[in-house]
Amino acid sequence: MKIESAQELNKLKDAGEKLLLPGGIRIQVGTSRCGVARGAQEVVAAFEKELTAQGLEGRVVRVGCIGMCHEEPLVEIVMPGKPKLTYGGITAELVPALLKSLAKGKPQKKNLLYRTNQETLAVNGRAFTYAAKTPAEIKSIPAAEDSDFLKPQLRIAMRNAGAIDPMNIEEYAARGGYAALLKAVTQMKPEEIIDTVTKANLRGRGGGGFPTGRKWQACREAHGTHKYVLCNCSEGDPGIGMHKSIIESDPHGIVEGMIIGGYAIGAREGYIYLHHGNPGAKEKLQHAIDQAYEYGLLGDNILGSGFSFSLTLKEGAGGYVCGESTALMATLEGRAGEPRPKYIHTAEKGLWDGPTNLNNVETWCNIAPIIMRGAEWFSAIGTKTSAGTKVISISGNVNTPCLVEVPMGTPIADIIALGGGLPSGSTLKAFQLGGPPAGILPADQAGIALGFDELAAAGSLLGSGGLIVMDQSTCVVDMAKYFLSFLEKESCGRCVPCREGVKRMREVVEGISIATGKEEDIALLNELAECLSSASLCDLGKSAPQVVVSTLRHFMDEYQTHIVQQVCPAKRCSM
Amino acid sequence: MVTITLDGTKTKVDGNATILQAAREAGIAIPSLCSHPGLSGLGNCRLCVVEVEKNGRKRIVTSCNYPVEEGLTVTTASPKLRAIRKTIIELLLARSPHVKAIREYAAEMGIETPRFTRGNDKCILCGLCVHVCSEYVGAHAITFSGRGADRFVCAPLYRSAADCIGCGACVAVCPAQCITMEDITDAKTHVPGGTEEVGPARLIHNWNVRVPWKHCTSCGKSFAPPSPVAMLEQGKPLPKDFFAICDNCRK
Repeated sequence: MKIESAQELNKLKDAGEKLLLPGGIRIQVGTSRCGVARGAQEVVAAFEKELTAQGLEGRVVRVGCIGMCHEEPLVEIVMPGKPKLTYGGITAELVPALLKSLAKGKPQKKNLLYRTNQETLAVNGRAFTYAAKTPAEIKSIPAAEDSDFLKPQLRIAMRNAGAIDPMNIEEYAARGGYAALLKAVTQMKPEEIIDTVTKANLRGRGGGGFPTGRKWQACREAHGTHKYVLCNCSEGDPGIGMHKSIIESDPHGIVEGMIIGGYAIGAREGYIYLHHGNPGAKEKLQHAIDQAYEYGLLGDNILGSGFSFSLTLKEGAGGYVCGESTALMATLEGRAGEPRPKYIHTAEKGLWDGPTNLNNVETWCNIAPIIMRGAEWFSAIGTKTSAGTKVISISGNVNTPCLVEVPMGTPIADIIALGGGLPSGSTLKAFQLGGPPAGILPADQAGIALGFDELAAAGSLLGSGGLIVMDQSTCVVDMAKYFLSFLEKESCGRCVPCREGVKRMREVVEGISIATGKEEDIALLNELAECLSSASLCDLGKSAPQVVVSTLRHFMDEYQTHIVQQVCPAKRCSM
Repeated sequence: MVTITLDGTKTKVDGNATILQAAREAGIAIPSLCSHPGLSGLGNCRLCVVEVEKNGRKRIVTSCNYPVEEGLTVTTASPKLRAIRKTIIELLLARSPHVKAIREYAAEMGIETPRFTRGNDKCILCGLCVHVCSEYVGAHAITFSGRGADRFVCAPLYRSAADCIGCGACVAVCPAQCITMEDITDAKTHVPGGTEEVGPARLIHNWNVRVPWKHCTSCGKSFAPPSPVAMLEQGKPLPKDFFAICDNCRK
């Protein structure tokens, strides 16, 4: 069925609403990567078996990730006229009792986290109501909007995460999906779209923080008949997976954003680069693309507007450096993933020498809401220089590692609190936000507000948004060594400073960690860092010394203790 | 022609040139290892870094692949640039302490012994051999393998470079002189079917290549390796037997 008008999109939406608010029980099980690791597949099987056994009318739906990794397997129950109930830690054994309590109309309180009566859809600001009234028996359960986990959050990129079946386009449409595309291609001129994105002050969520509108403008104005829009889902940082999680939860969000971007820029072709080894993300994204073609949202004459756009998913062979824009384009062209000098911008000459625009998963996911709700709405969120929200994956020494989306400007300390804070007996020593190339900051800077310029001023990076929390058992020399060995392995080896320099920096830091460090090592590290940050070919090499520079700045005494007294205060280094 | 400011002097230079070409034209020496006059700049060794100023914004770029443009201000030597170049040479000297080109730069910059553990690599990974083979000769016979510090140049699958035409361009461009090639008269070449042919051939040891020479149909003498000839034959409006006769007989 091809959609060619607003009425037909509405039909799709109505069909989706019937699925989201059905006549029977709708059981949503989080089957994203974290859920599956905790046994979500068994829970799905148990629910399916138990529904038949108890003779209940209902459907089990595999949804994406809500973000509470510590509460997986997460199960949400939607029943006609009742608030949505969110249960955490539901294993297969707990399923029969839970279903019995639901059938009786008295939902069990055990494992019940919160209820949701109504939510506001981030994409269009409309209310999505599960139940107008709360039944007396569950009044004591906290409402979702008051829960400690959800209250500080604002979900724009993750708006549908955990709420819809990622394999179902109808459910996506029911929550306001593809209305932005319809609005863009039928009511807006490309220039208007770029203007809206520029005024919204959306900045690239991949790390650099370059204004997205200006990037689009440059690509639109560039000469060339074949223009391309690309989506970066390389995400090679160790220990984070928010982009893959977004893809596994809401692949249509990216597809919709990219079609709008293609229309605004004047591109007819789009490519999504996905780091290999993500079968779940690949399957869902490919399925979303196929569905979009089937419904006429991709291909020729989209929504009857005359605009044509094709989208292809490409799996890369991997490598951290492939997330760098020119290396990513080399990979798409079928060459080795190595960066090239960017003295001529990729907006002029990128993929196959055509004008190319690259944004990452999170940036693309922000496009549809901006188009629907306007630039003023988006720029009002966050801070003056960093508008909107940022998806943060919290890991390290915290009680409950999780995935959250908070408005820009939220203090880092509050984000750490969202991760359940540090275990008792631990104190915050340092934190790092933005992956291996970002600087490590000391605990006294935890009050810093989340934002591109705020973190850059502190000598770190917002980067990808992977927050690593470190307590007093962490040794900064050990951390520097770890990140340097990671970057040494991931360096493509093309330019001398990165290839030889990172290796030598790792050797020097390793020497310090095994009590063979010398006083002059500090000067040597600074010298190497200076050379790497100014003379490397790409940003991997340029930012590689950041972790050493920042720890030297904030934890110099710890380096000195290692060198002079040959003692590791945190007892991590083997001395 | 465009006008750029080179080390404080306004200079008119060819608009298609790179900063390195323009500077050399103006008699300013910029050290470099991975640039070759006949090939496009690679920007791999980063030794040729210079500071450019455009619209009030200063940047450090590699001069070998940065195109000149009107109004560009270029500084080719400053304490910072010298420090970067010195660190790069020290890093390379630790990797390849016996390469003549590097030893010369090191002596010039006053580096006696590098502060790192020394290796003994003959190749400095400048990338010129791969560049000339793929982009200019078009043979794509050799490639980089591995990543980061473990990177090296080799024939595909570490075996004999089957696509090598024996032109020797890689040998000619190598600044470290680490590719060895020789032409020998009594090389044994295995012919499929089990027979051996003894005759002149060109050997390039680094890529395990043995390219037997062609025999002149007129005088019977051996001459230039046949594969580059075969490449030239494609699409060239020449007599059919043009490449079957050696240079001497053709005269």
